[in-house]
Amino acid sequence: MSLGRQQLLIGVILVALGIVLPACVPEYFIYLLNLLMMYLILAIGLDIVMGWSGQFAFAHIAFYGIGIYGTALLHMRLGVPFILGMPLAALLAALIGYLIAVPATKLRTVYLALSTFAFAQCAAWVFRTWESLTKGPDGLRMTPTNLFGFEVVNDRQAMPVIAVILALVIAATLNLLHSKLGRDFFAVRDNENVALASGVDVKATKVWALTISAFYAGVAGGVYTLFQSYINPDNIDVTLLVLILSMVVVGGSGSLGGVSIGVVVLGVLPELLRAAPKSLLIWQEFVYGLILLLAIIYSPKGIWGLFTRRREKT
Amino acid sequence: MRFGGLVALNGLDLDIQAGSIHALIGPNGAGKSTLLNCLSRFFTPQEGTLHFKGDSLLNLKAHEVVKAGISRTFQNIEQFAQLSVFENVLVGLCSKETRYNPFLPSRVRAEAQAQSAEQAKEILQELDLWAFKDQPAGSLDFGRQKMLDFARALASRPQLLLLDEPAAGLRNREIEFLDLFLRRLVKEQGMSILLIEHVMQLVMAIADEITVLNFGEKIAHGLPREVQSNPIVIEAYLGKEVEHA
Amino acid sequence: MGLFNLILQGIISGVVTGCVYALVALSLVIVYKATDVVNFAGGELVMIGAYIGLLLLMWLDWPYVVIFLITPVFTYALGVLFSRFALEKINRKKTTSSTVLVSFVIATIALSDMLKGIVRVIPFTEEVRRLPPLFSGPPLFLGDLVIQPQDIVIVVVASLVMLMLWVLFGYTMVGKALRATSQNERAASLIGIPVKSVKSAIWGLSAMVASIAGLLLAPKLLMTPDMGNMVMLAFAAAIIGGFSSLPGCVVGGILLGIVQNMVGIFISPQAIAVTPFFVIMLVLLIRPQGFFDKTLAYKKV
Repeated sequence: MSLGRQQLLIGVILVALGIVLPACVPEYFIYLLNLLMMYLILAIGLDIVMGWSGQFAFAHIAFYGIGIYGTALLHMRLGVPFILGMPLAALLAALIGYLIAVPATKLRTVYLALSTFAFAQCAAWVFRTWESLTKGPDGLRMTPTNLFGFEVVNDRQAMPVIAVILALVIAATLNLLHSKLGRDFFAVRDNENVALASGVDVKATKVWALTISAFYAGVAGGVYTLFQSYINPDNIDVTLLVLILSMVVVGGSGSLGGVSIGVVVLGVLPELLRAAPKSLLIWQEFVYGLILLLAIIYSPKGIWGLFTRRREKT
Repeated sequence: MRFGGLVALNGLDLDIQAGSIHALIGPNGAGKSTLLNCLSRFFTPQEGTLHFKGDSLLNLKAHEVVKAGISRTFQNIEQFAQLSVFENVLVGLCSKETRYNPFLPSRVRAEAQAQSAEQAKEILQELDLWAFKDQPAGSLDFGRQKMLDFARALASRPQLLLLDEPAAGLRNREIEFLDLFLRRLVKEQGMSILLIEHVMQLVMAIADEITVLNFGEKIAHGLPREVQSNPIVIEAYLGKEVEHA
Repeated sequence: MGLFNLILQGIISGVVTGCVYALVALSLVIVYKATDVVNFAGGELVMIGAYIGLLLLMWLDWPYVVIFLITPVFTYALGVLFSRFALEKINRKKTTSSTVLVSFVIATIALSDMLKGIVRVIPFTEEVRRLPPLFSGPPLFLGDLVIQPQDIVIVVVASLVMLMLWVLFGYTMVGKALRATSQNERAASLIGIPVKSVKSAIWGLSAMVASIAGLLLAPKLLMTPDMGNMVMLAFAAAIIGGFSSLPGCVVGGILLGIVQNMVGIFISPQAIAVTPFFVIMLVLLIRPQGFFDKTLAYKKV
């Protein structure tokens, strides 16, 4: 199937589900699906910088926070409608991502990971202490998004919008995957020296990877404001980063299918734990850690990798 | 060219004639790979000049060298292990595509992509690698991995090809293939080649001129026959036998 | 208290906490030098040390000295098990070295979750706890300065551990084997050093040091499963030392402890939390290789 057809098909399915499901599925599942769709955008962004380009950049959640606060505050303080506000917030996230990327990509892996992680913690601290802007640890109550005069007040209304955004994100990602820049990401990951010898500007490519992934995180933040009504800086922390990382690793880094599987499996898991007889929810953290460990030992290419490995053997 | 306190290349003067094969030989550690790294701009010498087609190479960065017309191979197997054989070659070919936004569809870009794909196919077929085009590069056997490195370097149709010990680890049959192939490149495309090599059989067979390095300095230069019988050279190799088939 | 005394007090208490940071930094760097792995579970090893100590105290009511000797045995085992059953398994797959490294780091992230998760599941850890003070007794008074006897114990124990490590690495056969493996694994295996066992031992050693730091820290801090977040302070200390120099860790740790307190005095108590992150970013910006290291933080390309 050609690329264009793939994108069209995915888009149609997503939007159709986004319109049909809210009418016939219980509200809680709608919330869950909205959450998963947002996680998918976050996860794809993280995969681009870590999986595709091999850059261990842990600043992802900082950009997510910028997306959330940016979109919400632009709307609440300046009346900027979501349709403008989200792209602006995402661009801001990308800009800051760019500024971080330029010095950070010079560093060795160890230091890149630590410095970006430090940056993320600094950002979290800023969110917590800039109380005049973000209301700090008390949290920000967000007014419902206004979409062309239509107020998006609950999960059912948010779903089709999120589905559309996700469809666009996936289409764009597929284009990126098949473009020169996308291929350069993988080249830089596999061997920087050969990449240089092949004419790839390794430094610029790395910066692009981080900047683009920051944009994705910003978009995910904007999506957050569509179906959540409250944001607390404590929600934007390492735990979330580890969750997204786990989704990417367990599902299969480097492919959209893999990441999607990871999001679904790890996103649905807490629900299963909750439904279990003697609520096993308290085991959640341990189980996640265990799954991640088993995945990285026995199937580093994730669940998707298990399928493709079988295909290669035939 | 210095690394800290170590002088790797000292006062080296080298001219590569267009459309010829210039071999660079010398004992291990003589500085041959360092020279190649300077030429491909992976290293920057502290003193000296590098010129290619009249322009100074020192203005270029490592990744700009390909566009200028210089390609290189690597001594140890260096490749994109997880990418397919086809993609390995494709990476170096798509410079025309950069002008287009990677997120949006574009017909012009699709055409450029198709063109690059054609070029990649050609070179892979010439080097007998087309059958493996979808396999990850890391899964090939050693000889084919070397050929892939070669294919990648050739795909951009360079005017100067820098080869770092291409015959290392190859079987006789493969070396003969290399011999004929390199000669053909020079004859049909007018390519210039700098050949770093230890396999004397190949060097003596195809080199038009040879420069010998030892401890970072040039100790001899000239036609193969001259160099072969040069006592200084023989001494540098400590009696290494030069075979002439 | 005058400003001068405030500063002196800050320095003293900075040295105390700095010693603990230094220990954790040492545990991180030991393992990094030998296996190139950044141990993101470092903080959780500290936390586990504290909780094991707590459990031993509650169940067996042994004196502190004994707990200090027993707890590291458990954590040594933990380190060895992790290295044998997680890391070596990852190493066995013949993938490129960079993907293996990435996998190692992800494995440590997974370990940190697992350790936190296990502690959370144990019922009584839901309440926030504190270990009893290491040494109860009246504080010492030096003029206007107050020195808790507990702090002296911390510095003494930390110094002892550092001394032992120094002797181990510098003067024993085992230490030489550890150093050889750190520097060149292949060469070490060629001369007969059992590299896998050595690496496991290094992980065990690192876990031991971290758990001792946990025991030193727990009486001063409130114990929660999230105690491990202090690892950032250790990373900052290690980075000041260039992530490869053991004395650098010590200097870095103490320096960081003092700087933190100075920030609290001169800027604001709120800013203390963000200090390690600023230090990390600052050091990496101006001198990425740290102040003690000769190797480059920049990649070769």
